[in-house]
Amino acid sequence: MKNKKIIKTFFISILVAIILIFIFSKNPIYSIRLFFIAPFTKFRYFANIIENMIPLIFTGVGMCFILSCGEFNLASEGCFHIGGFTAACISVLTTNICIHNTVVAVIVSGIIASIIIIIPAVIKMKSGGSELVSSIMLNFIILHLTNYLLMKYIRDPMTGYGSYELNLELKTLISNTRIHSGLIIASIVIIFAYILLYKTKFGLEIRIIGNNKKYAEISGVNISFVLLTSQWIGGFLAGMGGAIELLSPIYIRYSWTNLLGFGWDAIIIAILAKNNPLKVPIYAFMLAYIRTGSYIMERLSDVSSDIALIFQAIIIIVFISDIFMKKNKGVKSC
Amino acid sequence: MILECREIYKKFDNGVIANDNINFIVDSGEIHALLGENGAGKTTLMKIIAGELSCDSGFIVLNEKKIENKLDLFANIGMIHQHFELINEFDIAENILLGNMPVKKGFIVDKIRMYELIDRLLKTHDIHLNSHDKISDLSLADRCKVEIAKALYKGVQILIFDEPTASFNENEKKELFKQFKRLSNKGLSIIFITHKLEEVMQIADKITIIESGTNKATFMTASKNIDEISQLLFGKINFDVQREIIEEKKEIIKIDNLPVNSGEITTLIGLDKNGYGEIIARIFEKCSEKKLKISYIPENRLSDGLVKEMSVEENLVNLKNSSKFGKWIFNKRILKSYFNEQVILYDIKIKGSKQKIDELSGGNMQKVLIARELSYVSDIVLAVYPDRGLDKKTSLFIMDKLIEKANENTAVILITPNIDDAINISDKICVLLDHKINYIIENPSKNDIAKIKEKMIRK
Repeated sequence: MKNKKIIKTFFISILVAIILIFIFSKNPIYSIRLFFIAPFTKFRYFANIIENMIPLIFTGVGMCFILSCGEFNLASEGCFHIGGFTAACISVLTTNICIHNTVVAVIVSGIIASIIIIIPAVIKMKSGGSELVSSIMLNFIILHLTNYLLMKYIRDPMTGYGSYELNLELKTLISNTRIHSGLIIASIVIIFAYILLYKTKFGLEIRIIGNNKKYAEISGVNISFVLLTSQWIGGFLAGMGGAIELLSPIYIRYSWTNLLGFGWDAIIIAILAKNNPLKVPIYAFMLAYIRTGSYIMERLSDVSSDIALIFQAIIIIVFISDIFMKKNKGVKSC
Repeated sequence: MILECREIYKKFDNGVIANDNINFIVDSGEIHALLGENGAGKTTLMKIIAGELSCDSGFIVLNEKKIENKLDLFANIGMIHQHFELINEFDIAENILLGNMPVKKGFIVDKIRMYELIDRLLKTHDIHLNSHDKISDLSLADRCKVEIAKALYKGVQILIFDEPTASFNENEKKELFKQFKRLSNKGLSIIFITHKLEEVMQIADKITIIESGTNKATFMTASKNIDEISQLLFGKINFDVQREIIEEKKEIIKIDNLPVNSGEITTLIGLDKNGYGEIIARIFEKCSEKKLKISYIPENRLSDGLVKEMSVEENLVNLKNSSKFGKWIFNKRILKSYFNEQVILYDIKIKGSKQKIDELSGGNMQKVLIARELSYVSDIVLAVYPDRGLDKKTSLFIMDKLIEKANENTAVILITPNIDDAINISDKICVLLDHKINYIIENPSKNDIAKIKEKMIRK
């Protein structure tokens, strides 16, 4: 995949989005301007992009670990969700508001999420069942389970579907925006992930397994250990991302009764970044920009934000087909 | 003269000049062998002739007409690749007519006509095959014949083979060469790329030698003997490294009743598919039992030994002793100096440490693999067909490295189909037959060839 290809894909997606806006909007030029240009016109909007980017970095880096080892475990959406839910529970239950409790909430959320993501991996290892199917199913199990637990235990009767007010909160970095200290944690995670994946023996083992399992086996790599650990890290990061998103100044109560899609977007990000954590922020920014643009458009014009989903779907279709084409090509001889 | 190529020039996107003004002529009904080292540009030239690639400058004349359109080449010239493009579950007739089947009533396949058509085709070209046979039941030589029939059905005048015999055994080779002769007697021209001089001497009428993108020489096979040709091709044909006699040999493992000693090269030889896969598995088992360190050079380098998505540098890191690059994080400096050392030591031709491994030629890929495995100090080196598909020079280089390893008092196990190589370098040869060791001979010499050949065949 060359950069040319990425630019071409985006060009096609933008074109389709514009055509759709022209079909559905009464004032298409205005809507298009809101979608593509508005995010850069006001500092508040630009801050929204950064806010949206933070959770995408966590899930995207996590997805890099999962896809690097060649498994298509898509449970990171569920991991993100349960990470947020766990953090909400801890946040509602604690009365002692201090930084320690916030850290504990984030780590516990990560651990619970990483236990969840191991389920499809173990099913694959023990019985050969496709991790793709079981992980997607798992996401919906988690969604309904957390909804049930929300209703039963932490719902505030004063609200419709919201929990009690959250006690813990991450600090805001820039005043007048909701950009929070999660950005710093995300930066550390990117660097840590890059070193682990590209500069250590463990990272080399992950990538060898992902590309050539047979060679890994011959070289004596402990395949099941490496597979489980790398997926475990992926789940942990997604769960952490969920917790950090929930504890950010954006939310006052926990009210996630639907999947937020940060885990799905992570797949696009990891594929575009070719599993390189250093490239994750670039594509996370791009997807956050599309998300933000579509929200602004939905608020101020007559077009729904679903355009953004179509936009992303086209990117996925083009890139996934490219990957499959590559896999089917034979070995070149010189 | 049926085909004439004039000053063909081809430069690839990555800057490699594969063909540098090559001239090449083929007469009708001749068997023309194309010789040259790995990466000399033989395959590129053939792909240009077959219309699979286009050249940057130069022109091709076919049947005294200058070719303007690649499709004309495609229709008249058939190229048969090393890896056959056949569907194993289909029978011969279906494979030949794929996408082109005769139909009745617009959409129902007319089976009767299909087999009639193919039987007639096979008969007119003297190809001895049964059109009802499934591909998966055929030998490699027969599969190659199906490919030939596929090309002939298109009505080609020239057939090109890219190293057709690379994985054939002796009988399959003989059968294919007989087919070559029959086809050339019918007026078809055959061009084939090979590394094996013996084959060329057997069947080629004319030989062209290609060296680094240009044609070095063209001559009739009968005008030169095998030594003169190999002189022309490689310059040198002897091992550089001398065997040293190791005094303190000790037995490392035992395969069945064959003791494998340190400081010795033990060669296992046998016709293809005679159970060396099982022997390899047994060696691995024994090694893990005794906790021995093993360096393994697999037969299929791309699928078992290298990661083609990764760079040369990453492929050079041996997982078994990666701790020397740092306990937790790889040290950039140590990695760099190790990389430079290996590149010089093994004469690997690359553009940089970050180059992808699958951009290299087969010989360089194999050198990377061997550098990685032999840089690891182990008790046993197990090399399976280490010179498959490589030219004589690279192959000698690899054998030299194995001899060096034996001189360092390591046990070397070599599995190869090449009797001459085996006799030249090994201390012990054992012949495999039906998954078992049939015959062991120590300190073999040229006089033992007949005996070894006899033991390779089931009575």
